Amino acid sequence: MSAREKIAIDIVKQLKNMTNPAPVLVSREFFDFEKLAITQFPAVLVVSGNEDREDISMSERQATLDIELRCFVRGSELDTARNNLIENIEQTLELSRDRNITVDNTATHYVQSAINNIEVIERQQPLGQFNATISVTYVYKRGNA
Amino acid sequence: MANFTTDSDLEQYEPDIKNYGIQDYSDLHTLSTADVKRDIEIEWWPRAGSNMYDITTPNDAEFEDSLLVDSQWTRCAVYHVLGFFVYPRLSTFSPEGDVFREKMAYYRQEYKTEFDKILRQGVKYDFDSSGTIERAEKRPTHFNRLVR
Repeated sequence: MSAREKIAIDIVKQLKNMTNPAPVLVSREFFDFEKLAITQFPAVLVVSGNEDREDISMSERQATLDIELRCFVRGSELDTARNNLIENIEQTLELSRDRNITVDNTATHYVQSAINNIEVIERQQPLGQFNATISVTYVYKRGNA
Repeated sequence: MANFTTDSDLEQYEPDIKNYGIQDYSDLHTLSTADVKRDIEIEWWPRAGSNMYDITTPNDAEFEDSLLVDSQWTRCAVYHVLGFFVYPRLSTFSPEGDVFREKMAYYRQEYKTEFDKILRQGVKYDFDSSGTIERAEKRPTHFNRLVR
């Protein structure tokens, strides 16, 4: 399994284990947030995004992967709901910045991740949305991503 | 009071019903069962006793829901709990509509149809509390009578 895939799986797993406020729906499969049940909010769509890769030595490459969390909340006091969810997501993902990937000499050598951007998307009430971008940097053996 | 339905009954009709953020519908089963029993008492019970013995004798006995055969009402009650309790809870009731509201309307209609079919088939009710349902205890409501 690729490091890219392992990272995405770990993020989904951590988000599903969150507590109060916790997303009810966490998915990597695209969904139309306007067609969700009222009980499925907050909802998070995890999207593996663009990635930059470069050689850093004779045998190693470094990749920087952006993973976008499209987060949807519903109800009243949307600004508060958004802020609370942002705080909890960041705290949850900070618990294991290495994304729980086993580092070894044959494949992945190093992993670090952090949320580096929050973008609030304006929606009509009672919906609210923000996108959080997680930047994951990892180093891997050439030909073994 | 035992409920007519459980979560596993709902999943037979709607396998995805636990994917909407509610993992336990127990309280809704209780509310729904009470409503279905009330409908039975309203629609069937007033004619049930006279149907069995003497049509000129009004039925003044108390309706006892424990004498019903629960399994006869399972499908009907599944339609009821989905149409009257589960899907209203999931729907956003946005003006343009949503799939949950569509299903709510569908199951409400199915509930009426199924309820009527049970009345026409014959409600199983243990009138003599014998523990078995005799032939006369499951006759159709309008058996051998003209109803105006």
